[in-house]
Amino acid sequence: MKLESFLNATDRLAALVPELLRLLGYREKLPTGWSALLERAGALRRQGGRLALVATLYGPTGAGKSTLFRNLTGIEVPAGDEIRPLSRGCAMAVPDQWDQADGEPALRAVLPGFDLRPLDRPERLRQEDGQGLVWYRSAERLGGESRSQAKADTPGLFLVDVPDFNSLEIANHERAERVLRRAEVVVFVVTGDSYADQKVVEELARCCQVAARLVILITKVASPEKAQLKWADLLNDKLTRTDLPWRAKFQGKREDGRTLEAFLRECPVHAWPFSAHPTLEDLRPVTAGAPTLASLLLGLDAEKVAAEGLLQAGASSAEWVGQLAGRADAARGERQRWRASLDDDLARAGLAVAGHEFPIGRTLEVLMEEARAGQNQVFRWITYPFSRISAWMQGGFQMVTEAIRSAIRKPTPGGELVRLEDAERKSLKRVAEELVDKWRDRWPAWVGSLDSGQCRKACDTLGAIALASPQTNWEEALRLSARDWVEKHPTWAHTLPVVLDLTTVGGLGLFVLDISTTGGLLGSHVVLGSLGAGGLMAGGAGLAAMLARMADNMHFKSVLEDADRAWREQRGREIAEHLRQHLLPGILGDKLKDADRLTSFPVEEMRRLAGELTRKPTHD
Amino acid sequence: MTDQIPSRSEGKSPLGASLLPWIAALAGRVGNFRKDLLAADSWAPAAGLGVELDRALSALEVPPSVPVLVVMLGGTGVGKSELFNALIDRPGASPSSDTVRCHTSQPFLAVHPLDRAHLPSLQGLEPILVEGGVPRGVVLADTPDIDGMIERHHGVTRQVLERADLVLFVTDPDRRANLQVLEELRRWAPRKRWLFVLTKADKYADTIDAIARDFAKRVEEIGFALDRESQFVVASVRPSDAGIERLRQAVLRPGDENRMPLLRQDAFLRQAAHALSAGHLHPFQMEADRLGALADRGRARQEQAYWEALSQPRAADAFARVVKQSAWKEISERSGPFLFPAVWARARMQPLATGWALTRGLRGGLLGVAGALGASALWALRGLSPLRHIAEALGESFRDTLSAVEHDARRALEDAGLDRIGVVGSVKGQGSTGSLAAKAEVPPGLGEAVDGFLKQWTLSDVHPELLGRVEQDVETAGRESARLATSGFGGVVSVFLGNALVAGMVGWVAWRLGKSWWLETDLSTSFFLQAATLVVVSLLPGMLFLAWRLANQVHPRRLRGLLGKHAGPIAGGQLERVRETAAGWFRQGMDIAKSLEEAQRLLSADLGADATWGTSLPARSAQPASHARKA
Repeated sequence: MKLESFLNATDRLAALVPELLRLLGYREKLPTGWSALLERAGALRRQGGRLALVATLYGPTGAGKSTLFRNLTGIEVPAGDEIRPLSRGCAMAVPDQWDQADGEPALRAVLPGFDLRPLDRPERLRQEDGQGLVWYRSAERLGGESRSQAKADTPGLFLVDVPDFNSLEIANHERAERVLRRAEVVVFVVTGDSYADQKVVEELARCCQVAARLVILITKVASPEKAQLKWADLLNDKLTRTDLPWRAKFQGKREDGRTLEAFLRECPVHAWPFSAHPTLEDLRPVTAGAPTLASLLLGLDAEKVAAEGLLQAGASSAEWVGQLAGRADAARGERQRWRASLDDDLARAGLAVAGHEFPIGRTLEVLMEEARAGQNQVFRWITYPFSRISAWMQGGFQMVTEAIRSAIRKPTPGGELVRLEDAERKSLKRVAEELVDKWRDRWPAWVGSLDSGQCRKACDTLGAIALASPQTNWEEALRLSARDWVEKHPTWAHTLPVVLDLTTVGGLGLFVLDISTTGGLLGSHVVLGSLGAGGLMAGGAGLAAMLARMADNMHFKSVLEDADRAWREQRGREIAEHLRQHLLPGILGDKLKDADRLTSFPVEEMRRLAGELTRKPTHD
Repeated sequence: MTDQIPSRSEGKSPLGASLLPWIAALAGRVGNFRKDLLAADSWAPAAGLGVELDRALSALEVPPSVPVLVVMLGGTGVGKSELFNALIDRPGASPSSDTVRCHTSQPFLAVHPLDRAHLPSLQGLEPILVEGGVPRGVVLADTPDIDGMIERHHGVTRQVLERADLVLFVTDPDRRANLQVLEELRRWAPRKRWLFVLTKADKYADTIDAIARDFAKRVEEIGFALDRESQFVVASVRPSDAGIERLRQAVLRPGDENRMPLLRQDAFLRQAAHALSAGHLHPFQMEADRLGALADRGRARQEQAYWEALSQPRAADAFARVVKQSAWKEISERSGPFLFPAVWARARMQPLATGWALTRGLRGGLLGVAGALGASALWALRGLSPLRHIAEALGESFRDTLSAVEHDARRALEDAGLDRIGVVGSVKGQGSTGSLAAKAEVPPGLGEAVDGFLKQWTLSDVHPELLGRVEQDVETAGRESARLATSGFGGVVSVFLGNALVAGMVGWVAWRLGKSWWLETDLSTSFFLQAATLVVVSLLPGMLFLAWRLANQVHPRRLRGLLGKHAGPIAGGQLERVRETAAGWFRQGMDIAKSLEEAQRLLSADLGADATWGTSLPARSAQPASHARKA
């Protein structure tokens, strides 16, 4: 595979992953492998053909990293002998020839994104600094060996001394990790007493995951033999015990298929016995005849190791990206279920509002119209006077009601006559509050909290928007079944209008009586409003129960039931839609959009790109 | 060697004895406070505080026969086991290794043979007992590391620490700044008494003093005031080392019968004071403030809606009428002796007039008049329905605001996990709802039946607290308008003139009666008729004056001025009650903490500066947050 396509895959993933992390509500720390991939790929792009290696001295507090750096490079850096922890920045030893030949811009290509400043005085390192600050200074020699031994066409090795990762000085940890992500080569410095610290072993595992090359240095031991024993205790006992989680942790795979444990076993181990004034002569590999630390570092093939570093970071990221894709799949399902449950809630709420109100008035009007259409001539003639009065009453009803109202009450804005819309609006408000409460109870964690302020805002927004009046589709269904009924029960169809006319006249009479005596105290205005014109007879006269019995006898109960069902279904849908448009956005805002975005997120592409990261990048 | 624990000289009052009753009383207060907090255990700060208080109280439950437990705490390979062996002078008692870390996996307890039966309980652990090397009344414990790669070790150590009376914090120069270990120290710091040991001093012979000072600084950053008495530098782990000897003197001193109970009382005081430190109680105050602000906002919202609704013509009209009704009752007490009967009669008649006016059924002919009369009679009977009428007249948008405020209050409490607080309390009904609740307790009679009948036909269920509020406002406005109508120059003059006129008439009648009695002449019937008419007519100017003045006061536009500042909340009062509870807990906690600190200070003074007791975190210096340095 070409290097270019590896880098392109990285770039594409670098654009996709942050968005997916946001959609998933990912709160954990990003894995070092991923950050390392971005750092190293960036550096490779910037450097062009000439590849530089970055090596870091990485280790716990008091392990002797700075002492080693001083000894290797001759650059004075502060060590925490008497003050511990020491807040300090990173120091980098730059090959002499590089510094002169290429200057700072080329240096920035080696460590893109870092803030590089020349180290003129050692105290600089103790300055308060920001993240990613690296102080550099040229060093001609590395551990007594001249850098010119390195291949002429490679820029050589950049050795960085970083602060500890486990002291009280939290800022130090970040500084150290930032360099670790970039460094292809890691010298892991640890004292003989702290090799089994929890934090140390965690960091060791991390180094195994991201470093192309790892060198172990055990310091402050009595002898190299003791160091070897300690290291053997870690490798052969602690990391292999089945009752500890470490065994599994070190079974992860590296880019070449080796386990982290196998990789660790093959790392060169050096020992630096304890001394009040340690020198490099004491620093020896634990296995006799192995190369010294300095020659080991200088002898690295930059191109090969840089490629390994990139690939290692790629492999480590590919695994994580694969896990992310899995999480995205799971989250997709969850989001879809959530959306379905929202739809379900809305549909129920719509039905609840629609079922609470039923336009019986309009229903009876339609029924009457159909029944009248089926009456024969004689009947019409006999019942003519009643139907005239009734029709007049119904036609002039609004006028009469208004007249009565203005006679008994001063006209007030927002008066108390309950109309269907008002009743619907009222129960809509109630249902919205109930919905919000329900959602508050069982809201998925990834949505975040739904606090009372948000709820209020959403409910207020909903309350401010008028509900559209019902469409007439359901009336068509009613009309059809009414016609059907008229055909099947001609006798009842003849008598029904008469009965209704009679009750209208009587009911209106009683209604007027009520209004004029008690000011509507007996509730005519309640019934009046919600029933509309045709419902007057049922409400005003309090004959609803009787009518229901009649309906039963006349076999048009099923007609009413059909009408009711049609009404509920249609109005329920309309109200659910209203809620969806005006209640949901107020509460959910971007969450719904996010859920949609996640559903259409190119997860498969991510999987494919992750696959590309595990293939070896090669130069043309 | 005697089996008896050596005791202090006879007749001398033992250390801290005078404090015992006080500490017992404090424990009682802490226990009660803890019980109160149970009502809020779904709220994290209260639940956390409860756990801490339980822990503090458990310190007092250890029987006095249990010996003092001295526990070593430190990271891997700092030399705990070697120090343990050296202190009890039993080489190899707790095996150590220089090539294998995390070597100690079980606690080792050095115990006096006679103390074996009284060991502190370490459930689930199987400590290895080493007999001897320690005096009676003291147990020394070597523990596994607290930062190694075997997590089980940390748990074991923490379990032993839980029981510790005195902790030896052990570290070495290389690892003195390790975050994980120092964080463990910080977590336990307020709960225990401490001694600090720096080992491997011989490795850094040149710089050990500077290192020890630097280490002391780390410890002081946690909040300890470290003195030389509680810091030990151990150069080597030979039993004869001077540092070891000093440590042995401090820790393994022969038992003192007072040491045990005093340490535990001290532990209780310190832990309870720590639990009730300002940092822990702060959330209570914060929450109270937050809820207070929310309650204020809700109240302002409903006040605004209330006044807006009340300025609607229909509501304002109804309100003014009912206020007038209430004002006449008030005026009857202020109207002077001569006008009083007339005003009193007027006040009695007013409900009838109010009902009449509110129904306005006159246009419906005879039936309408009958209906209006009936309704007026009902209202005169109940006196409640006009209030309901106002509450209904306030309109739908106002009722929406009320229910929104109520929803918001409930949700705000749910958000905070405080919705369970005060639920029990609110059932009793307090404040403005009280009057209605009391009415509901009257056995159902005609009034109740009428009320139920009316209620059945009302448009919506009127908010009971709103009804209370309206009732209260009507009373206040009535009282205030009556006061205004009868006070000031105009009021005094009209009351005076009104009374004077009647008084003059009555005086004239009395003079005529007296004169006729003296002269023994008979008065004609027409005189009595004339006198009665004149007295009645003389009432009219005063009455008219008062009515005119009252009508001026009770103008719908002036109602707000009559009521002055707003009354209690109409809805969402739960918020206010919870706020009071949280603020009360804050005050109570601070109060107890003050007493605890005082007791702790006195007890510490009694103990004196003595390495036997170790050092402790001074009160109020505890840092609940991590002391790790951030960038």
